[in-house]
Amino acid sequence: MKKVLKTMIVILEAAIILFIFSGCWDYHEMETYSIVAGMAIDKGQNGYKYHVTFECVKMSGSGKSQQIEPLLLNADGNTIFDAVRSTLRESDKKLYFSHCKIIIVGSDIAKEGLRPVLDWMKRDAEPRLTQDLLVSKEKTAEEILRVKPQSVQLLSFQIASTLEESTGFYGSPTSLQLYEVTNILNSDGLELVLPAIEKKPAMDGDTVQLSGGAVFKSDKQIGWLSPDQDRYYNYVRDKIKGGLLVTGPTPGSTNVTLEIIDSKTTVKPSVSGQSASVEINVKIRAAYAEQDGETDFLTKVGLAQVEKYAEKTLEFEIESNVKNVQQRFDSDIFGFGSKIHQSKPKEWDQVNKNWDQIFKAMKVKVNAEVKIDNTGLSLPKVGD
Amino acid sequence: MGSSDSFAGAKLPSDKLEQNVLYLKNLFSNDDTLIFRDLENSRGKETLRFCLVYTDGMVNNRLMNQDVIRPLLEFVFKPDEDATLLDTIQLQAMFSNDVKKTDAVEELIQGIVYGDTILLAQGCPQALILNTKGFTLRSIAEPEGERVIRGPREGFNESILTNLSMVRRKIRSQDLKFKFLTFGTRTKTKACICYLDSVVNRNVLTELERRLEKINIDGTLDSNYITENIKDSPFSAVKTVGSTERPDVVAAKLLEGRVALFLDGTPMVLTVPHLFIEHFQADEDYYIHYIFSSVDRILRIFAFVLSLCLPAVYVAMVTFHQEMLPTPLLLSIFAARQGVPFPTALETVMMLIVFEILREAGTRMPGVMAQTLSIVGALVIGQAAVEAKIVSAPIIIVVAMSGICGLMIVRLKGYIIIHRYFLLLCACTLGLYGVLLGLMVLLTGLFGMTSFGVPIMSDIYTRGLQSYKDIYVRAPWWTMVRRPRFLSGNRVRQSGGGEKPK
Repeated sequence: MKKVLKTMIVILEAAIILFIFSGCWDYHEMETYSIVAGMAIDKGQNGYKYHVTFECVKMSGSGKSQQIEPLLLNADGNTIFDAVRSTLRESDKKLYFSHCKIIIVGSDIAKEGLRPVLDWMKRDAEPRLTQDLLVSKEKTAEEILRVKPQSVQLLSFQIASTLEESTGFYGSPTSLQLYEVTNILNSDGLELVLPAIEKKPAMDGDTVQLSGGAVFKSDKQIGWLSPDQDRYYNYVRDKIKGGLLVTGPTPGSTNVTLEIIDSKTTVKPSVSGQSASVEINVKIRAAYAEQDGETDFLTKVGLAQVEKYAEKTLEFEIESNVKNVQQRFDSDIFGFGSKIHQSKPKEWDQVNKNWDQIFKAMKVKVNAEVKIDNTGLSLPKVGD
Repeated sequence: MGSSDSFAGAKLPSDKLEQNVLYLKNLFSNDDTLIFRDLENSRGKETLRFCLVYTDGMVNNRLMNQDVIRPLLEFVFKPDEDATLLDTIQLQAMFSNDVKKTDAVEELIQGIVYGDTILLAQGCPQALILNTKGFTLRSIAEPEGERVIRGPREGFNESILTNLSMVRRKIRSQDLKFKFLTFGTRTKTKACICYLDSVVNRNVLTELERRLEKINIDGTLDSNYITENIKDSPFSAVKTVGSTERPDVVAAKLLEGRVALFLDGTPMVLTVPHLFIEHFQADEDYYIHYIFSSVDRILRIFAFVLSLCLPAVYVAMVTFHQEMLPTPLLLSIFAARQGVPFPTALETVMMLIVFEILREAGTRMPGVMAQTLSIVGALVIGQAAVEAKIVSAPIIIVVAMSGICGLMIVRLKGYIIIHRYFLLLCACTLGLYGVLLGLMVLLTGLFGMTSFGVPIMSDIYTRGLQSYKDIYVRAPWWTMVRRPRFLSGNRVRQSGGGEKPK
């Protein structure tokens, strides 16, 4: 009898634990959801604050000819979540955000501020912190999502993988995920640059293309970077994972193309009173990838000289790009401030208040070191 | 043990042949297989009268004629004061290797029903039991259930003596002990405990004998009758008594210190203790290269986990944790789920039941119908059901995968089938969290179980390299210098071993 009682107690305990600690209590079938692949946020009409467009997954056809198609839903709301739920007036399925890849923010909204837009995505359990954020160069972000996808079934997936590839092999723009955006927004002395996206007219309807970056000050957008500017910005931020470096005897010439294998940038700021300067050291390993047919640089000037050209090009471009940003925006997108904050916290306390002015007047010195590892499958002279 | 009721202590009634014959005829009344053969021998001074009693079909007729009846008829009897007639026949006349004189009715009955012949003689209150057994047996063949590609191909048959001889031939040592027992108050089935005296774990042996003594059953037709009577954790689906049809397996287990129990009438020999890992140790593991057998064993353990958990994990992922699926996989499952009327959990349960039906049908039906079954199973249930949108395609894949993995470890079939549903239930209510809790419950159960005093998971959790040499992998034979822990009191297996061959 005692043994039975003991067994009963153990079973009861197990059952209680089973129910108390149960994390997820929601059995739900997949097809009762509308899977969101991407969303676009614009300024609302008719008195609403936001107009949100969702690209969802729709199945068409049946049996083996079943295909995934985009289903565009849109709704107005005074908050993002309000707009999300307002889709239920039109759609019979709740939106499901766990597989949402991208958020495109309209320029209008970006200029007003990102923080209120992002709060729900960070707070809610469904959306991932690894979603990519982009800013639309078009009038609205919805226009982008309305473009017909080319390579995969859904445009959002296409944009997400385009962004991934461009990060790895083109160098502009580099992707910025929701958690990184949040970190930058919450850090001192570092401002945000989000990838920008625009429509590109093509023979059969429009397509989309990435187009440099959108410059922010705090959470408000203040301008754009062209793809080239964005690339040299990425050198300073040490975000180059691959891509090309076109160089030649003089800055601006395009005789030799190097493919970047490995790139490492260190930024060394220094402060003296209310002024600051910065030394940017870029170290690159590259492959000699292409040369224009006119001169064989390898035979004529040698690999060491080509390395010098590349170093000069890099130094020139990065320096002029930093200067350009200093002139156009009073926003420290390079994160020089945060470097000071990290390495010299006491000095940072002194310059923190006037940082925008100090940033604009900062002296910049760039040192580049290029090492060419190989010359591809051709040796010097061959093919000349 | 089931010694019989009414005949215990009964003796033959008289020294008159007629009375004794009548007595036996009454005992076996309404049994027309019994044959009473009367003989007379008048070569000596007086006429001797005998009667042979045996069961038709269980004796070797040639042997009867040549070696029993002929000597009885040709024998010239010289009366002797010191010896009785039967003594003289036993010593001087009978051409039989096994002759026993007795007057106990019990023994006579046992002899008659087991193919022996009873010789009754005029003027003797006793009888001789002559070994004339000659019934037909299945020949030694490779066991269907435990086939190997490389290794010995003989399997046990239904005769206990043949089976014992097969093991005796493998272990030629006086150390190998055989102890006979009888089970079944009515069937009087012979059984034999077999062990290696210097290796065996005494605790296991005494525990086995204690449990066997308690058995009270009217018949034992297969060794499972015994298993269920002596098993630890009798309600659990986990086997704690091993069984095999192969003499090489029995010999190997005896060498490791286990005890074997043979039962007459069945080729299935029991071995105790039975550890959980034995489900994964195929006999062929020891006959092929150790690397291949290690890979196979790891594969078997993996298949076991997969077979147990796959449906549960699938249901948990698809209905609770959609965010954990890679997006392309999510989309293809999403596409497959379109228009399917049943919830995923119900679908899975349904298809699992269908699989079990197909499996059971395949086991029970005659071979000629196999083609029909596979066509109906594969085409109708698999393809048509998916195309008709009654079930989604991923479910078929999951169930088939789980089922086939289960067939890889046939000896754990029962355990897997039951607990697969248990885990599925956990998954349906609590998702992956429930699967984990369910697995914890199962593991706790396994770790708490013993087989004849030995924890069935003992080798898996004991430390020390030696313990792992025959668990997840099978180490080369020259490294296995010790026997598994707990199995044997004498753990040194190969003294001076453990050296790499040069």
